[in-house]
Amino acid sequence: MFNILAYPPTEEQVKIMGWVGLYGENWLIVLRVVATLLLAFSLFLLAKTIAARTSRIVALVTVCLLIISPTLWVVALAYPLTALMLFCLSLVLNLNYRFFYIGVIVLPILNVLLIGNHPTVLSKIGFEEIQEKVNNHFYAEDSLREKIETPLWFRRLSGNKIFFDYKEIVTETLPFFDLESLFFGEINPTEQKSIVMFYWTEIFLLVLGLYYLTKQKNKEINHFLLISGLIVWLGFVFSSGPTNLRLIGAMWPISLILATGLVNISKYIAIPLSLLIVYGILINASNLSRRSEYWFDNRPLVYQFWFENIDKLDLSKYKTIRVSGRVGNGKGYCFYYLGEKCKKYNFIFESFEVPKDEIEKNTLLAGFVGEFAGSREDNRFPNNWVDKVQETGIKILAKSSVRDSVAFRFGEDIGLAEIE
Amino acid sequence: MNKKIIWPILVVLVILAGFFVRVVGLDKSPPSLGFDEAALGYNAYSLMETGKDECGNKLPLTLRSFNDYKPALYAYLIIPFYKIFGVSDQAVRLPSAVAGTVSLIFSFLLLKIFIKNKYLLLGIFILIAFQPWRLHFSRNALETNLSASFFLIATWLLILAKTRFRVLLSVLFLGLSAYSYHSARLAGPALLLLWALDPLSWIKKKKISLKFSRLLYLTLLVVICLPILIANNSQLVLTRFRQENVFNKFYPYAPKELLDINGSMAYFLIGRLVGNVSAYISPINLNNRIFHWVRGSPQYIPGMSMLGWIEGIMVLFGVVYLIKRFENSKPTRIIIYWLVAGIAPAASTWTWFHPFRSLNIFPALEILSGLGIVVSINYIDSKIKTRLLKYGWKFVFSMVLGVSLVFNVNNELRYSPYLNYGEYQPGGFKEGMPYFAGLIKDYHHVIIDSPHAQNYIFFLFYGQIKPELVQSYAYLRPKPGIEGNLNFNFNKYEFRKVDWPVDSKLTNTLFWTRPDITDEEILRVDGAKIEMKVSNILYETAKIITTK
Repeated sequence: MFNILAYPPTEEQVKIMGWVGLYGENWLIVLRVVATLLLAFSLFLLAKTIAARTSRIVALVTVCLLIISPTLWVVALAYPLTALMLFCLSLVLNLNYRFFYIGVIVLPILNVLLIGNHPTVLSKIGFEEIQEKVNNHFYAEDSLREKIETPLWFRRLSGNKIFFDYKEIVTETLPFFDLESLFFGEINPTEQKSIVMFYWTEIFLLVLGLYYLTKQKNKEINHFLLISGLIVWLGFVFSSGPTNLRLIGAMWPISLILATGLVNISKYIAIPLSLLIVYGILINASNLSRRSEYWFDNRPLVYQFWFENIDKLDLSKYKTIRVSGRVGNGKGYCFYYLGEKCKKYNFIFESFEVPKDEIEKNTLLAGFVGEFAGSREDNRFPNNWVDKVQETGIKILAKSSVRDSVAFRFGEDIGLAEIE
Repeated sequence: MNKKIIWPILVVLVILAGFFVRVVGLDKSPPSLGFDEAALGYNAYSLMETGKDECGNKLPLTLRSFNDYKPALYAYLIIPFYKIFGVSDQAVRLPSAVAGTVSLIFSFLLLKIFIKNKYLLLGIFILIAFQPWRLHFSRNALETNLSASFFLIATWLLILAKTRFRVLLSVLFLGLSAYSYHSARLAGPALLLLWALDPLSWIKKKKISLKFSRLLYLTLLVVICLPILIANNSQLVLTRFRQENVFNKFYPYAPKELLDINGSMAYFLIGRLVGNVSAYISPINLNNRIFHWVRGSPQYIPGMSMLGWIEGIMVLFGVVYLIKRFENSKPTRIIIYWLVAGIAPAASTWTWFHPFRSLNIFPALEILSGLGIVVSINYIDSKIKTRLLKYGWKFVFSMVLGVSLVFNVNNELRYSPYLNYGEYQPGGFKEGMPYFAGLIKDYHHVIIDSPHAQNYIFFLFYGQIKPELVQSYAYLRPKPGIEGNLNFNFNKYEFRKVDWPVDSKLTNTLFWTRPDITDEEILRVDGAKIEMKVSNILYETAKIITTK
C-alpha cells in the first residue's frame, strides 16, 4: 500500500530545495517539519485573534475544525509555501484593524512573487485578446442565415472590449464561491478531484453558524469575517493552480462560522453531529491511504519513477539523457534524485515526440507513451504500445502507468527507453 | 406627472419590455424546435384536430410521446395559439412566453412584500425581468417553465393567505403546476405540508404546534392530483423516476476500496443527497458552471448558467437575510419552504444540479438575490459618508448590472442560436419539410434518413401529417417502457439509414437524406433528381431526392 509519508516531493518542495541548494530526503523531511510548524503557528495566531473577539471555546473549536481538515495535512506534507502564506494570513489578521488593509494588498502580491503563481486573471486584463473575442462573437452572430435583428448600438452596448473584459475577469473570480470544492471534495460532481477541505457533514454547521452569528450581532466578529473574506478573495483572484489550494485561505473565516454553529447548538444536536464528523474523518483517512494515487498529485510519482530507474543505469554510455518536461520542472527533480550526476551527464529537460523529432542515437529517453509513439487527440493508446514502439528501434527499459492523465494526449503510461 | 401614476407605468413598461423580449422572433431563436417541443407541438395539433394524442388516447392527462409520459397541460394550452396563428414554431412556444411574462408580474408582487424602497424595488424588478434563465426558458416550449409560473403564483397566494379563498386558490395553482410538470407533483404537496406545519416557527415558540386543519388543504391537493396518480400509465411515469433516481445510479455509492468499512455506503449516499440539495444555493452553479448534462440539452444557456454573475453571488447574501429574519417573518419562512420543496424532487435524482427539474425554485432564488443586493447596498451605504461617493458607486453598480442585462438579451436573442443550435436538432426539418411534404402524394415510398434524435416527430410536425393516419398505426410504435430511438415505420414512410448504392434502385421513392451523398452519386442514377438541398441556419444538412 502506498505510504502517504513516502510521497515524493512536489514541484514546490523541489523548487525550495533549489533555492537553498540542498537536496535529498532528509531535507524533504525538514521542509515538512517547517511547514507543519508554520501551520501550527498560524493556527495559534488565528485562535488568539478569534479568542480576543469571541470566546476561547469558539477559538479552540475553530482550530480543531481546521486541524481535522485533510487539506491542511496535505499542505504540511507537500506545500510549504502555502503554509507560509497561511502563516502570513494569520499574522495579518492578528494585527490591529488598520493593518488588515495591508493584508489586502500584500498577501496577493506575496502570492504572486513567492509562490510564483501567475494569476490567470492578469492575462484577462489585456485588450488585444479581448478584441479578438468580441470580433468572433459578432462574426458568430452574423454568420447565421436567419437571425433576429437588433440595432447595432444595442449590440455594441454589451459587445465591446470593456464589457467583455469585465465578463472575463468576473467569471475568473466566480469559482471562489464554490460550495462543491469547499464541502464536497469526497463527492465532487465536477470530475475535478481535489483534497477534502471540509467534510460534507460540516455543511450543517455553516447554516447553524450563520444563524447564530446573525443573532449575536457581534460587530467585531462580523468585521473580522468581512475583512478576512476580502483578503482571501483577493488571494484567490491573484492565484492559479488547484482549486483547493487557491481556496485554502477561505477555510479560516469559514471555520469560524462552523465553530460558532457547533458551540451554540444544543448538545443533543452537537454530540451526534460531532460523531458524524469523526466518522467522516475516519472514512476520509481510509480514503486517502487506500486511494492515495487518486487523491494526490501524480506528477511527482512520474518523476520518481523516471529518476529512480535512471539511477539504476550506467549513464556513461549515453550521449544524451532526455527527460520530458511535460509535467513540470524536471531539472529540480533530477538534482533531488540524482544529485551531482545531473551536472556530470548531458541531461536535457524538454518534451519530445520520437516520430516527429530527430533524436540522435545513444540517447536515454524518459517520457510518456505519446512521446514514444506519437501523441493522440483522444489520449488512447493500444495495450501493446511497447511492442509497436520497439519495432521502430527504440528499446523500452522500464514502464509504469499513472492515473488521471497528467499529460493529456500523451497517455497514462510512462516509460524509460533508449535509442541505441 | 403625479408620482403615484409614474410607478405603475414604469412597472407596466418593464413587463411589456419583458413580454416583447420573450416573444420577438420566437421562430428564429432558438433556431428550430427541439424534439420535445416538436412532440408537444404535434400532440397539440393532434388534440386540436381529433381530441386524441398522437397515439390515439382520448383527451389524455399525460402524453405517451417518447414513452416519457409528458404532462399534457402544455399541449392543450398550445391549441388556442394554433387557432389564432396556425401551426407554427411560435405558437408552440407562446404558452411558455406568456407564462414567463405572467410569472414576472407575480415576481414583482412578491418582491413588493420584501422590498419597501420603491427605487430598489423597481431596480431589482428590472434585474429579475431579464435574467438569463427567464429569457431562455420562456423562449422554449418547456412544461417546466409553465409549472414554475403556476408554482410561483401559488406561493404568492400562500404568503398572502389570510383568507380561506386564497389558500384554496393556491391549492388550485399547485394542482395546475402538478399537471404541468412531474417535479411539481412532489414539490407542491411538500410546500403545502411545510406551510401547514410551519416547522421553523417552532424554533421561536420552543414547542411543536400543529394546525391539523391546514392539512385538509394538503388532502385537497392530493385529491386534485389523484387523476394523474390513478391514470393507467402512472406506473410507467414511475419508470422514468426509477431510471433517474440517485439510489440506482450510484449504487453502491462508496468507492469500492472503502466498501468494507461499516456505514461507508450510507455516508456517501447521504453526502450525495446533501450535496444535491446544497448545489442549488452554490453561487458558482447558479451563475457560471455548466455541467455536461446541461450543456447537451435545450436548458443550456451559452456562456452562463441560470442567473447573472453578480446576481448569483448575491444569493448568498440573500440566504443570510433569510437566516436572520425567518423567526419573525412568515413570508421569509415560506420562501425557505418554497426552496426546500422545490429542491426535493431534483435532489432525489442523480444529477447534481439540474435546472429543468428544479425550475420551480428559481423565482425564489431571484428574490434571494434581490434581497442580497438590497442588504449589500444598505450595508455599503451605511459605511460611506460622502454623498458623492454614495451616489457614485450606486451609479456605477447600476450601469454594470444594466449592461449585463443588455448582454443577457443579446446573448439569448442573437448568440444562443449560434452556440446551441445543435441542441435543437439542426436537421433542417423546419426549412425543408414543408417542401418535402408537398411531394409525398406523388410517391409510393418515402424514406427519411437523419442522424437527429427522434426525427420522426419533426417529420410529423413540420410535414403536418394527418393525426388520424398516425394514430391508426399506434400499434406499431415501440412499446411503453422502451427508450432511445423511437422511430417507427408506418404507411409508406420508413425511417432508416439510406444506403444509396442499394436504395437508388428503388423506384418512385422520395428520400430525405444526409448531405454526404454527393451530387455525382445521385445524378449518376437514371431518374434520380435532387429536389432540394436543405440548409439549417449554418450549413447544408439534408438533401431531398426523388427517383422515378
